[in-house]
Amino acid sequence: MNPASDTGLEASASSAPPATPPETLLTWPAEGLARIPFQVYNDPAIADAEQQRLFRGDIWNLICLEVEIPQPGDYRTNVIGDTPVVAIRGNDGLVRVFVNRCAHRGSMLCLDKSGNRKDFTCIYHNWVYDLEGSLQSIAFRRGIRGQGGLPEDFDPSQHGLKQLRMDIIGALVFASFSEKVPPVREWLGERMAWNVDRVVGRPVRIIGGYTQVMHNNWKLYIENVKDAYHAGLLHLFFTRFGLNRLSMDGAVEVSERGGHHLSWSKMHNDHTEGTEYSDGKLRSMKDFDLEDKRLLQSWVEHEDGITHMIQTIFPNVIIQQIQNSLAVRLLVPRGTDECELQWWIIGYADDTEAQMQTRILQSNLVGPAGLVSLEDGVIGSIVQRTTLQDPNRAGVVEMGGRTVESQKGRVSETGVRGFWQEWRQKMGV
Amino acid sequence: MPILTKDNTHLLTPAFQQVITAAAALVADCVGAVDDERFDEWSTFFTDDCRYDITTREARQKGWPIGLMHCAGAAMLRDRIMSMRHANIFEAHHYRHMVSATRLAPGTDRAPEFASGVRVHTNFGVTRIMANGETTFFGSGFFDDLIVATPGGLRFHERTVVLDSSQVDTLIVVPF
Ligand code: FES
Ligand SMILES: [Fe+2]
Repeated sequence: MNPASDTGLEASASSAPPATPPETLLTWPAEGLARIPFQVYNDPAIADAEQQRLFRGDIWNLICLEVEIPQPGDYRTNVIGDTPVVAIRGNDGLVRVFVNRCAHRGSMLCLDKSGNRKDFTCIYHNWVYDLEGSLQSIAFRRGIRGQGGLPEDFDPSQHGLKQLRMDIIGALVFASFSEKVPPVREWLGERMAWNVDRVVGRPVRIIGGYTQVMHNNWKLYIENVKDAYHAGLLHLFFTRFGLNRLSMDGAVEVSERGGHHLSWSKMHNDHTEGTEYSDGKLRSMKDFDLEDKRLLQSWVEHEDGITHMIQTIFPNVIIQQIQNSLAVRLLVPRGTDECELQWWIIGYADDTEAQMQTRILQSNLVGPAGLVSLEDGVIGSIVQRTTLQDPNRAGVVEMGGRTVESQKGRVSETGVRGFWQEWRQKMGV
Repeated sequence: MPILTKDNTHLLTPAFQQVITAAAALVADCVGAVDDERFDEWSTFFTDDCRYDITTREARQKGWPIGLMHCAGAAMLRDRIMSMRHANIFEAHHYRHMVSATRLAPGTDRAPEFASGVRVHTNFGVTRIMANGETTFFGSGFFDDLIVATPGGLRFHERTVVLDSSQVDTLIVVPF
């Protein structure tokens, strides 16, 4: 035990969580992963600790899609947790990711979401960095007529931009504060990397994008994505049209550490006989029919026959294939009780016009106005409000058992437990 | 019919005023139906083979074909309402639109006639009022409308709701 490390909130960008878990942050319920204490959604100290131990810790953070920055000088800004970052393609063709901050006094360098620049010229006092992040020039470095300026021994090479580790898999650009985390492909593991390749492993085209702001802790949303059990129950649109029923062939798979997951199903292999769906007891079976069924037209895009595949990459990235609606989502915390979900809606560079039209129609299923998924924008807030005054109470997650492993069938919360297993390990609680 | 003039003298012609007044009335009546929750009426403001989109300023600038909502035909508008009533789950709320004067779309280069379609723009702001009274400014933008004459009266043949912001609070289930 090392009480000195209790807060763990030192401001350094060190990626290493404290060697000894700070027991004051949180006491996990004795039931283990079968319980989730409400405190994790509301406690500002936990949210602060997440910035260091999680987002600046031993994980990879999604920054952008590589197709957004095709030319030298093209840049795209984003955040890692609370830290502004910028991905930029250098004159050598390589993508680099920097903290979006001038080394002089900290002014943000790139203010726009995206653009192109020859160098980083800071707007505040005009210090100039090249695309590799080296400090190239300093306004009035020698002062004026011998007055002012920097000391003789000031070494510009010591004042470059803070560069992060960068790695690319498929269309996705990741960055990390950690020197320890293995390359993205290895960090994902073979099975998880398989689906990344499957969905974004060939040239993609961005065909839409928006940000959805939700009034709940970010973890309530990521749990929702990993909760295969709710998908066929909360989302009536899905079940009524047989898009994704719990009775279809499918599985929930979790990675070795628990944090990544895959949830998939095959709509052409549905067996409702003898389930609660076929006897009409569930709310989801009430009569409801579409006048125009073109929204539901799809083609089987993959030889594996999987029509619905949701993947999470720990802790906050989602890759979605709902029929032919493809998207990458990044979830960013905004304090304890708000988060933003950034969406990239994608197709492939070689899509036919007919395929594009199908994707456009199916885009109605997802996003803030998604016929299937709009409920997910509010369910977290509906939970958040009940947890505020009872930090010591806990949610129950025993569907599919109390442990973490891949499971056939999706009446399971194994993905949720997996998330908390890795979160606890990274957070040291 | 008047031709648009640089010195705005076309504004003074009765024919122009009739067109713009009729277009503005259609826009106002349609948001009135939404704000009053007369949702069965909503699709009747559109032609059967209409196109209705909710998109964003950013998506238009980038040329993205996908916005937030896309309906091809009035049947899809009715399906949206049916889904809202019978399938989707959300907290009760309604909108109040504040609309600007309706104007001819920039670039209009001939006399507006409903027979061949009139393209008009109308700015809006929308507040969202939750059942508990909490009122937030939900969004601003403009309607980009193509209005045509049909035997039943004026209808929207194309409506693009262009939101100024790419950021949506929580969800959109009630149409704009
Ligand atoms: S803060 Fe950037 S040059 Fe001073
Ligand atoms: Fe969901």
